[in-house]
Order: sequence, then C-alpha cells, then structure tokens
Amino acid sequence: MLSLLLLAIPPAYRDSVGHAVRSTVLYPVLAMQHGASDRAGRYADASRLRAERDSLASYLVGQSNLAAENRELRALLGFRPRLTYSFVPAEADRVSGPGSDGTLQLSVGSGDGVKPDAPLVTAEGLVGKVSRLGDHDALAIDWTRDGFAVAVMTVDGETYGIANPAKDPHGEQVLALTPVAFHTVPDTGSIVVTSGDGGLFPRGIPVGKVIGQGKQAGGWQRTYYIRPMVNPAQMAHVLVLGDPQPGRSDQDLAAAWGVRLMQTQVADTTARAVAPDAATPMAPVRPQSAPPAARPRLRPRPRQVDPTPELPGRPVFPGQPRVPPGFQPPARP
Amino acid sequence: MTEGTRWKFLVFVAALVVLHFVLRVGLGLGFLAPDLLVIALLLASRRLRPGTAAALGFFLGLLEGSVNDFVFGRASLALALLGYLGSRSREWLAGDDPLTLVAYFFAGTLLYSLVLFILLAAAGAGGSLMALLIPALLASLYAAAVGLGASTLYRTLA
Repeated sequence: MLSLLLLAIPPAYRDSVGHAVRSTVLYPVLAMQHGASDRAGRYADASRLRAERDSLASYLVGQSNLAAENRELRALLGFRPRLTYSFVPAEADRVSGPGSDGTLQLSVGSGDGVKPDAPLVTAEGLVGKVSRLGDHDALAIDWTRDGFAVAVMTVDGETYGIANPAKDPHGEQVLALTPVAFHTVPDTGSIVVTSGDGGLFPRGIPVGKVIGQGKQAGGWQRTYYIRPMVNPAQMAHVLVLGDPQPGRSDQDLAAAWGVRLMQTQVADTTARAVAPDAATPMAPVRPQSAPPAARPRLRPRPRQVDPTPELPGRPVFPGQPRVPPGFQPPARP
Repeated sequence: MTEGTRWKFLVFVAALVVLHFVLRVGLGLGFLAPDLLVIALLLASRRLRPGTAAALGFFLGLLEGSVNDFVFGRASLALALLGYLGSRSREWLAGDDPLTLVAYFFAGTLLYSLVLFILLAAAGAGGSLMALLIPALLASLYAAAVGLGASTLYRTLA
C-alpha cells in the first residue's frame, strides 16, 4: 500500500521524499559519488590534455620535418643546374633492422638510369654509393656504414688518403683520413674532396672538413678525422650521379659545390712528387707567358626598336622605352 | 541460511546494502556492480515474515528510488513484492544448498527486473521486451553468482 502511495503522490512530494533520503541516509554515498566524479573528471582532463599535448607535439615534429625537407629540396633545386654530371633524383629511406645501419633504400633503380656503385650526393656533399641495384629501387650505403671507403684529398692537393667511417674520441661518427704521410699536416677546417682515384667517385665531391688529428697509425703515417658535410639526418633526398654530361667543358665537380681545387697552384711540387700518398700525377706547369693584348672593344651595335611593340610577334626589350623619344608614328589613313 | 545470530545476519544484510550503494553510486560502477540490494532482500526475506520482508523491500526501494528518480516508487513496489514472495518461498523452496540458492537468486533478480519493467512500461517508459531480457538475464546470472558467494562468505564468517 505504501508503495502504491509512493507511486501516486505528486512529483513535488516525491522530490521532497527523495531529497530527504539523499540528504540523510544516502548522504555519505552521494558525497563519495561526488568525490569519485571529481577524480574521474580530473583524470579525464589529464588524459585529454595529454592527448592534446601529444597531438601538438606530433604536429610540430611533422612541421619541423617538412621545413627540413623543404630546405633540402630547395638546396637540391639550386644545386642541380651546377652539376656537370647527369643525375637521377631519388628519395632515400633509412632501412631499419639489425645489421642495416648506414643503409638507405632508394626510390630509383636501373630502370631509371642508375648504374651500379653510383655515387650519392646532396647539395652539401657526398652521401654514399649504390650497393645493390634493382629495377626501380636500390639499396645504398652512406658514409656511416662499416666498409665504406672513399679516396679523398684536400683541396690544396697536399694530402691524399682513404676515408673510412670511425668514431672520434668524443664518440661522434666521423670519417678517418688515413694513411696520411707523416710530414703532411692538413690544416684543421680544410675541405676534403673526393680525389677520383679508383674511378668510383668522380673527383671534386666535397666529403668533409678536417677536424683534427686522430690516433697514430704507427710508423710514418698519421690519421686525421673528417667531419662529413652531409649529416645522416639530411639524406632524405639525394641525387644519384651518372656520367659526365657531354658538351660541358667544365667537368670539375667541385665547382658545383663552390669548392675551388687549388692543386695546380701548389708551389712545392717536389714534396708532392715524393709523398707516398700522392697518387694523382701533377699537371704540367705551363710557363708563364705575357698575357695577350687586349682586343679592342667593339662598339655595341645599335638595337632596332620597333615603334609598334603592341603588335604580336614584335620584340620588346625590357628596361628601354617602348617608343624612341621624339618618334612620331605615321598617321594612319 | 539458519546459521549465525540475528544481529550478525542484520549486519551482513546491511553491509550488502551499503556495498550496493557504494559500488553503484559512490564509485559510479553502475551495472558493472551486481545488484546487491536484491540479493540482500532475498537473503533477508528467507528469515523474515512476509509483512516484514515487504516493509524491508519498500525501504530498500525507497533508497533505490532516491538515487534513481526514474524508478522512484516503482522500485519500492517491486522490492516490496519481491520481499513478500521471497518470504513466502520458504513454503515451497526448502533447503539452502548452492543449487537452490543460485536458482533462488536468479529467479528473484529476474522477477524484480520483470516487475520493474512492467511498472515502467505501464508508465510508458519500458522500452522493448528484448532490450530488457538479455541484460536482465545477464544481471540475474551475475546476481546469482555473487549471491552464492555472499552466502558462502556469511556461512564461513558466522
């Protein structure tokens, strides 16, 4: 009967009864409920904030990658016209997994014109070389890979040697230039480029800068550390070099990187000749002769300016008046 | 369920009721927690006279309706009816063996759900029968298992 009475009473009384029960008997339970919901809200807020922070962090990381990639691509775009060798642009993804350190997966292969053992370069310098060639993909090794070796020289032509991956005393991944003749001391900071010896890497590709002397190789030889021009993190976009372009008179690759090889200006040729690491023969020194007399400058030919440049197919020279001063166009009938 | 003194049994039933509200309301577990209110009533009604059991059911239903305004009054009616029937069940359901207890808890919880559904349906808020049956069956199984565990615990402690 009481239950039926509860069902029958008006809502206002029902609320009063319920409120009385909630504020007395069930008060501890409801207080506990408020505390639990507050805690749940705090945890939910923390989770949401953490999720938002993670999303923002991942967005920022993605943006920084885009910016770096943009810089790389811009550098490559400006670098391409200077190259005197044919090349194939490629995307390089680092291969992950045990034993794959220093290995890159290239997006191009023999079907795209890539040749075996082709060098990889960027706008900064040498990256590595192709190691396994597929039809439309390839595996390459960069300079950090054990077993990588490149014949190098300083730009002044004084020091020759082989650069191999090594770690400097600080644990930094660098290249070790060895063997260097004991009497040859390359300056710290001097640029090291490929020497072209062995025929694998063309002459003149920047490899790195000398950062100091390494441990003694023993005997009459020294070892020098080279900090490579190309950081392993900058190898996402590379150019795979091909053959020299026919018809280009300037085949010096170093010029493409703005590096000037000074080998022909070496004064002490005797030292070069007896150095054990002097693998590249000296170019014969041409006798200095009097410079030819300057040719008289020709007067510039007067340029014809069309008085009616508005007509299609007529040339218009920028920076010059479209109609010569004082010219009166003929009156049309 | 004849073991133990009266006050021990009273404390046990009260603990079940408190635990029901702590789990379902205080901690917000909702239907993840078993319906200990029905279990407490079913256990108590086996020891009480029908009128007292119905009064207990009414009181417990009042508590339930206070925290869930949707079933206010209806829970009291359903639990009062359940308490009454539970008390009368001693006449035709003798014994406290586990199988009997499981069947008792299962049938009692299912009956409570059905009565509550009918009362809600009479007010136009019951929903479909299929939407009731599957959750009610699962809740009844859950309550039966927990009721059996609670009875066993009480026998051990008393």
